[in-house]
Amino acid sequence: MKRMILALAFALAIPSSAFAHFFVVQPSMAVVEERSDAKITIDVRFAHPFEQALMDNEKPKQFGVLAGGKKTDLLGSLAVAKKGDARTYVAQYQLKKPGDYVFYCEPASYWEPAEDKHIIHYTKSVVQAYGLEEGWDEMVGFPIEIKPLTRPYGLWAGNVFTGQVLMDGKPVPNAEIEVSYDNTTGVKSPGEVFNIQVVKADENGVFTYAMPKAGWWGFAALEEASFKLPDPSGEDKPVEIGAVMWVNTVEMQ
Amino acid sequence: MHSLRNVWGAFALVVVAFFFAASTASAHGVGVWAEVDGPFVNVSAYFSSGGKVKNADVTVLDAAGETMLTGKTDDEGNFQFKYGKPQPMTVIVTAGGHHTDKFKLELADFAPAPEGAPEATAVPTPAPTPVSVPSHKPDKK
Repeated sequence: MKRMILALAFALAIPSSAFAHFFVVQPSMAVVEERSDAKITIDVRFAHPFEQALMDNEKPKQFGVLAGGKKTDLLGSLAVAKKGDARTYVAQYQLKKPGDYVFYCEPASYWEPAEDKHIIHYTKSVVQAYGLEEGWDEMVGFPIEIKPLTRPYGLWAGNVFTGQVLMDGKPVPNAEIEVSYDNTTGVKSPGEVFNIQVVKADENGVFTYAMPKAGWWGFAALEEASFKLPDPSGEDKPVEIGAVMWVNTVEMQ
Repeated sequence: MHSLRNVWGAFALVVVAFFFAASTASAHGVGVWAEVDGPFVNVSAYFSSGGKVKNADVTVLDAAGETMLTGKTDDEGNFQFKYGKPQPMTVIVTAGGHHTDKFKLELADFAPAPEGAPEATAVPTPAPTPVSVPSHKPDKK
């Protein structure tokens, strides 16, 4: 019986590991050069980006922008955008000054029965406005966060992205980072193992990945939180906390 | 002999300084931003890396493309002028003779911003996007 349960657990575990969860914060433009493009839209969702599948998610706990060394709370501007059964969120934002804008979100915790844990992905994405490239490596101050060492915009497809994983402000040696392409272009995968790329950080928490295609790329460093949260039956369960960062690449042509 | 060496040394220094200045300037583009503040327009000129563009030439053209005024940015890369009558105008900043950028002020930029205008506004009707079907069942709360 025990063996059967174990086999069953494995069978269930395989599909869930192949479909990695990524929280997504995705601006309509990563680089804004003209004032006519100043009004951008930011999509916020919980997804399997490679498979283009969505999960329903409660309203985020935090949503804001870090610009000019100052954080602005934008939670009130997040509107629900229902897609099928899933609630996603959308906000509009007016870029009023030159500089880098770090859009960040702390989602509501998500209970994943298949993995018997909660998931909280602290997520960010940077928009560059009007040529003043200042602020892209400013930290939001999340419990776990990726510090970009590559400027996270104006990237060609094929560029590498290098970042450092920090938990409570300290590097996470040998952190494991899952990488996903937001597969809006219908890339056909030769096997599920391709859908999520995995890189390990060095002893300083620094990782590098080369992005082979134009579009949005998500980097997720996942760790177990020091706290637990109750599952729907009230039992305390582990919490996966993730540092997620999205960057956009453009085809060289 | 000594003085000759010094001359060569100074010359080499100038050459190095010239190339250094040229290379930093070309690696970092110049940007210009202008905002109406009461009767003034505040202009700021910056390098993409965040440095201020000091002592840059500023030219302001009126709606007809005629030069309204000229000036230079200060140590903070700033320049201020009184615009008089609101009209579309173009602020051109040129640094080091060849790095230039311009900012177009539209008539609407001279209109006072509405009181308490929110930074961001909610989208009432989100644009329809293709609905994707979760390939594993989304959890029920």
